[in-house]
Amino acid sequence: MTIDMYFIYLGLVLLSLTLDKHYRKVVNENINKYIKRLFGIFGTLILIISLIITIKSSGLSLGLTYWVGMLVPTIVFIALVFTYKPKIIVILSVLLLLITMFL
Amino acid sequence: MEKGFRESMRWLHTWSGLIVGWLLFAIFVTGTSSYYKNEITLWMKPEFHKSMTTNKTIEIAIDKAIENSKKATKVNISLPNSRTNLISIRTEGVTNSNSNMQKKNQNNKTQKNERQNRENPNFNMKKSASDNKGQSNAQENKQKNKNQGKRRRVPPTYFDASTGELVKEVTKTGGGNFLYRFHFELYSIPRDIARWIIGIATMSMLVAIISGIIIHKRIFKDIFTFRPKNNPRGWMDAHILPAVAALPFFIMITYSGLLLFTNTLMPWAIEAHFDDFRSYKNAMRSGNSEIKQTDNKKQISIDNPKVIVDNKRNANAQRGNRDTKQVNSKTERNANSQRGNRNTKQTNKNSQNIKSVEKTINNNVQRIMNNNLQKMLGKYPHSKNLHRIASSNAKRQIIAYKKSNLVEVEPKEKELIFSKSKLVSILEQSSKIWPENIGGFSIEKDTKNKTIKVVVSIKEASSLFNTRQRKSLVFDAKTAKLIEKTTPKTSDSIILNTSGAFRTLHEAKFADSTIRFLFFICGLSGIIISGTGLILWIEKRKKKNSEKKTKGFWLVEKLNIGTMMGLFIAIAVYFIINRVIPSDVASRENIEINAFFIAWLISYLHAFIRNTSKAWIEQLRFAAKLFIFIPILNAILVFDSFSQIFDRDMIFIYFDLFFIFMAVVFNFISSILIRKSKRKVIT
Repeated sequence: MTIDMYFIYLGLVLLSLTLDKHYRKVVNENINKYIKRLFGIFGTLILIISLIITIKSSGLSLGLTYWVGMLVPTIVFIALVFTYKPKIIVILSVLLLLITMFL
Repeated sequence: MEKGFRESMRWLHTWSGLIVGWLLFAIFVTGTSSYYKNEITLWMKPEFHKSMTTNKTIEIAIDKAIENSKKATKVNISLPNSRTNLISIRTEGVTNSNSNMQKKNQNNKTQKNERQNRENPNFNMKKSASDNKGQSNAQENKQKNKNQGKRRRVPPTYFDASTGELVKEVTKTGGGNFLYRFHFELYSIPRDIARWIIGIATMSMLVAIISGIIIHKRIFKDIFTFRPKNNPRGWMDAHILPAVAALPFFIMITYSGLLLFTNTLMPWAIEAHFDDFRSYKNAMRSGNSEIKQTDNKKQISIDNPKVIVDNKRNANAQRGNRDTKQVNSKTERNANSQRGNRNTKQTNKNSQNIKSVEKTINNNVQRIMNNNLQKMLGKYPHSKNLHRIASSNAKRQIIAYKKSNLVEVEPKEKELIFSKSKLVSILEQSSKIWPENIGGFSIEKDTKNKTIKVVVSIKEASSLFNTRQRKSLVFDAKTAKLIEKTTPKTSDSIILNTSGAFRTLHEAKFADSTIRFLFFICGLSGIIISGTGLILWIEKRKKKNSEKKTKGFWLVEKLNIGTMMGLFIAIAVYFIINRVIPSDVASRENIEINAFFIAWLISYLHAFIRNTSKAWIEQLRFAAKLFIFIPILNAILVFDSFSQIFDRDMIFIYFDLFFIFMAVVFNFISSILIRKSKRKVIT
């Protein structure tokens, strides 16, 4: 459960970094075309993987519901992080990974 | 259409949202709290607060199960889970000789019936009528009796999960049920009208969602954007961010909400072929339908030609007459149901004795009475007296039915007792198959074959379809061996499956604690959207209004305060009043509900009298104080010692945390508003 949640988070963070305005806030420079494509591909891939994990663990109908349900707080959370503390997003991702590993 | 497409969609979004905005806000708030409806009811009964799950819980449950299984043919035990902290036990077919408890239960049940009658005079008739259509032969009648038995089972008795004491249900409360009913039927408005109002509001919500998607140009580019500034742009972000994040949820909840109202909003297709939605469902479930349906009608016409004539006339009558029709057709079907019972008994060759003859005569008398009554009702459809007689008649029949049921239980089954160790080993086996996922178990005795089955059912649902039944393991109680593993059947009908899945999604029936919490968050975002939407309307017109004041602006501003803050204050008052009035006051639940509405009304009055910005701040602060007051009051009134406050079931701790959270939020917003108003004074 927690690992799918983390994957959703990671996928969404990568996707959000493909957007110019968020990337600039984090790294202070404009986004490179290749990095943008890389992040886009990886983000989508991770999201798909998380969807597969959720469906595998709780069945097709429930899995889809879980997955869509988990998107909501994650999107709001990432948006709030970008608004108030955009710099910590990288550290936060590592921290959350560690937390999910130990849970 | 001189303006562009987007422009006109923006207009549509604004007005379809505004006109029903306040109602939508109330629907979202009560609906979101309905995700925790059982928990709220539990919270509102202080006598249930002290129970807690411990290591002993299973042992206690087993002891109680064995104790109860000596008296009854079927014992159903649900273990505490994330939604309740009690062991609840339902018994069926308790023998007549040894049962104080049964008598008490029966009393309870009669009371409950009476209450339901008061709420809805047709209730009983509807119940007995519901299973009748589409079933004609004796086997199906048996099935029906079984169903009726299920529906009219005795209320559960509750046991403390840590001490095993019987917990008596003392407090009568509206509980979460009031908020739940308000969510789709409002309060004290005739049911059909209320449902239409909600249906229209839901439809305009759907319109607002779709037009909202159209006018929002950069859904994916702006998905993570939030600019908290005090201007329309900032409010817009606060409106859009939760809306986009929970967009699938909103589409699902609105659309499924409309589907749940099919019966009210678009009943014609079903009405043309069936008597009501339920009979349609039953017909679809039992495989196929229309042939049996006509059979059934023929049978009625042979037995009772007048009824069918009446029925036809009613079917042709307009929708305005629906009420009468319900009473008429239900009286008829009630008589029919008794005939059904009689048929079953006829097939049961063993018990053809004097009693059954007596019963038959009784039934005949009842039927004649019903027919007469129904004729009178046809003549005077609006006579309240007649309706009352009809309902009390049905009540009497149900009591009679129950009594006859009690007599039927054979004393032989007392021999069917089994040992505790078997039950323990059964539970051990099943906990190996489903670790920490056992919802409850039931002991079923088959008196004919002299076997006992133990059915262990899983806690969490495994799919969206058919959540009424859960996966279960069936054991033979004597040998403690697994007989079969059952998965609940889904219906063959695609229509029923679709509507069922939407219903379970809407009501989160399948949900474990995680997904329930996620749905709750989605519901909260719904509250935020409808709230910020209403405020956005004001914010966008503020500049214009400062030049030239309009009454519409003033009205919207005041209604915003009264609805948003008033509803939260009313809910807080509802929780507080529940603790304040003693449990032995008559019609307690009505006092609670009245307090709820009075608080809401006062909030409206206050909003209209005071200056707008002051009213916001005052009501926010008041709400914050009320919400922080609830956990304190609860701790003082419910618990005897200090240690109990921390040592209790998590459900109640979550409640306290949520109240504190709400208080903090309200305080935070009010402090922002205060700072803002001070800044205004300086500049």
